[in-house]
Amino acid sequence: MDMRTFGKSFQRYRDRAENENGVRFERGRVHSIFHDENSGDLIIRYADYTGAHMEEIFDMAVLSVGQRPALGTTALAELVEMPLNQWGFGQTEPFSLTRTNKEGIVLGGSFSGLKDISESVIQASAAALSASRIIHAAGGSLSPTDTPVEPFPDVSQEPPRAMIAVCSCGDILSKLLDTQQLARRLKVDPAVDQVAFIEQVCTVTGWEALVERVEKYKPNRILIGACLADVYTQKIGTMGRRVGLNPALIEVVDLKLTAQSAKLKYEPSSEDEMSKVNSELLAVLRMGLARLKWVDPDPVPVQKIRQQALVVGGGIAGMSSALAIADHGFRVELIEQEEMLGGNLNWLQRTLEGNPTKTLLDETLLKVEKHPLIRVHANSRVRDSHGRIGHFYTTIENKDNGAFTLEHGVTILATGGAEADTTSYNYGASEAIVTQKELERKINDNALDPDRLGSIVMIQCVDSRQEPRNYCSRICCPTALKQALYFKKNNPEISVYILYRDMMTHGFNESYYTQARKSGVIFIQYSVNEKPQVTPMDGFVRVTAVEPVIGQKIWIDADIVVLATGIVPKLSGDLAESLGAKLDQDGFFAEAESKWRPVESLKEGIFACGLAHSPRNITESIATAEAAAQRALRILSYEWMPAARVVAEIRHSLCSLCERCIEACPYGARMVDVDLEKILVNAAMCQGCGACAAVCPNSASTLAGFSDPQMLDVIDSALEGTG
Amino acid sequence: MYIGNHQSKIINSIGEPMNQAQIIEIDPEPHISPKPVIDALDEIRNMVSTCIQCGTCTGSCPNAFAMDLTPRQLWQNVIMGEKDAVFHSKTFFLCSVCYYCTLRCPRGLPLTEAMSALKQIAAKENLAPYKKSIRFYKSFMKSVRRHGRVREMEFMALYFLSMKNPFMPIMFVPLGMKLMGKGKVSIEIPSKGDSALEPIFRKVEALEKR
Repeated sequence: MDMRTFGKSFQRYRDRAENENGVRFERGRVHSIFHDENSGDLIIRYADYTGAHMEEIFDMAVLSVGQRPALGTTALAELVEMPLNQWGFGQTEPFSLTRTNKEGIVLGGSFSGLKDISESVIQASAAALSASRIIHAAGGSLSPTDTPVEPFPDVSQEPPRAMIAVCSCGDILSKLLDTQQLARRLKVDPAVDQVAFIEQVCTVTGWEALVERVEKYKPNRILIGACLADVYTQKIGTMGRRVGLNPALIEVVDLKLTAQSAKLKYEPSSEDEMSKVNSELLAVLRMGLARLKWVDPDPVPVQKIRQQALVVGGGIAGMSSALAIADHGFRVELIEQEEMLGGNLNWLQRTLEGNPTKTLLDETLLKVEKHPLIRVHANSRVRDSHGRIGHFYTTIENKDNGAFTLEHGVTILATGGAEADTTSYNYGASEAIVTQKELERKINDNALDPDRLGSIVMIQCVDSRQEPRNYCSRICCPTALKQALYFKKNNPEISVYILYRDMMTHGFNESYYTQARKSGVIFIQYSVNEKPQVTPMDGFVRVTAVEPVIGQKIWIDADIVVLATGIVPKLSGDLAESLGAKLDQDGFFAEAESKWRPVESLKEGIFACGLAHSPRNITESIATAEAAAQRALRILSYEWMPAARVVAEIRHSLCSLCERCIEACPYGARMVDVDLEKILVNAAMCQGCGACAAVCPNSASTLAGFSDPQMLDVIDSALEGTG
Repeated sequence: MYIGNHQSKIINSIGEPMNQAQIIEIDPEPHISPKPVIDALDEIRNMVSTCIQCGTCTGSCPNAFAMDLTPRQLWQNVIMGEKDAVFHSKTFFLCSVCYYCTLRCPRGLPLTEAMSALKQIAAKENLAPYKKSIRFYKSFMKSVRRHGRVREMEFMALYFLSMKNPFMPIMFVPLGMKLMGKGKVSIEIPSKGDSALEPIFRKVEALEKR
């Protein structure tokens, strides 16, 4: 029985659950659950590893039922004439998680197989990339073309002149509202220049009437009272550009929602109650007005984006992301440390599914070499990098030509990974003890004759899934199955033993696990406390282990012992540090947020893919490469961007160094400098959430655009309405 | 590098490797075996090869308490080709064919069938550890073959005869008295029977030889 922790950081999570939180893990399968009618308890029965019949009482049983294709998948697939795989999930092309054999149909999420959140998000980005590639190839574009170049006129020196436009929404609002009284009460505020009631602002006619009115009276603040505030975002942008008013000075508040809830609360027929409805609506409008009055009207400076990408690493992930970006018309600088591109694909031959990797490599290499927008820098490495999103300066050191500097808007880290070294299991003491990579090479070089082999032992999780490398490398179990099936296919007489802790054959890989069992591969589980022993003998290697089911010590005399040592990342700490990216404790790329922003760094403009990101197979690596490219294209496709983001600031004269803001900051962007006696903000990490400003007892921590007077004014307006 | 061509050996306990073939005592009585034991075990291995060692069979088995190897251990031994351990175990002769394991096996393996197949191998090979059981079964079938049903007295007589132990009937006297008292054993005149089932038995024999 396997307990699978194949995702990034899952193994430590499981260990924490067991060792720190006292979760009990039992290897076994519950064969029946009974309901005790007297006590209401659940009686759970299973056999433990010794075979003893166990019966335990629990309050609740949670059944993990797995995933299956969504209802209607078959009908949908038939409708678009798209193939499904044997389990009824969408069938994708080899080496792609998103492309189907029907051009124009790409898949996302669990439609094409079983996924967790981060993998779904990665795949969704990859699917978006595949879709946008098709549109781009056909001459279309998904990127916005009209970015504002001209800064908006500066109104900061003018007194606020607000226009309040209230949608009468058919005549629903006018029936409910005493419009005259509302206008009068709003105009009490000197900032209000005029109040207008416009019929159906959401329609083209209504909106046009509003824009005309704005053009006529030229207010420097606009408050719109309508419904569904979110749908106006784009309209506001367009209007702002047309009338020359920064969209930040235009605000929409939702009156319909307020009116509806007020109508439910009060009896509209009575005069007294009606005025209460009016007061609530007035409060909503006043809150909007308060926000507008205090909006920092400074025009946001813009900065030109250096619309080209730097991709560090020329393996399959690096090449895939370079191609994805270049195919969208942006220049890519591809840095490769070695003389040749290709990385691990240079020694891999085929996948577990039997797809030849050489074809993939040759095709990708050809595309990269032929692409006019990709410039390959072989024998090169990144020496130093600085700058920020939109404009980085990176110094590259070439073996022959020395150092030079590249300018780019985004950086993609695809530095890859390698098979880990080991000294365990007497590795090095005999030529018959090899790693998985060495075995793959021997098979590819035809250095092994399956007919002359009698017995092979494979040991999984060598130095892995235990500190300090306490993570699952995800590919070793499928690789062991691939090699075992190769031997069994070429010579069924070979005895193949796989000594494992948990076979991490997630998703469709499970079928190869079953296939291996069917072909006679013998799986023997070992525990980390009682590892197998490997002793080189004269002409063979003796492996001893404990067979947990039979409960006895066994030995196997093997011709070859294969060690699955797993993957270590090749992302150097210096490189990450100079870029401002972070590494996790195992040296893999640290995501901004592991589930929802899985390929982005907390420092904006830096992305990672492939083995530098996490252990994964070729197809999954390509998916991360496409996801990283898609996220990078979101930046590259703009010509301009705001020069500075809103970040928290500190008024040191008011700061009492209580450090509450450090605790409150969810991004770890704050620290205390003991020598300077100051709180410092890391501008690259601050996301402008305002948590620090909210906890600061002295108002020393501030966030531009969310000043204390503004927020207090908004709160006052809200409370006024409730009387 | 060295590439040898010697076979691997798995031994049940650390110690001197033993020649597995010598462990199994083959009954000297002549018998016709369609296939050698090792091939027959291979067939059973194929039946259970996709076992995931979850222990559902063991947990469900009502007779597991009396077995020397639990069903899961038996299947793991079969998978590993440990015919020595398999054919010294009483497990499969203790199977009462209740089908619980087959019903509950998450892999849908024909476990009850596999148990029966092991019994058949043991019977065909007349393996020493199971002589008693095999003779019991054979005597039972002999009686059924003659009469179309079992005749308890005849069955007992045949069994005692086959065991070639003159003291054996004496050992069974208390049980016999008990059963007779309850009317479970009827006394009938010994006869050769009408052999109405003879053609069926012949047909089965012919099929088995093929």
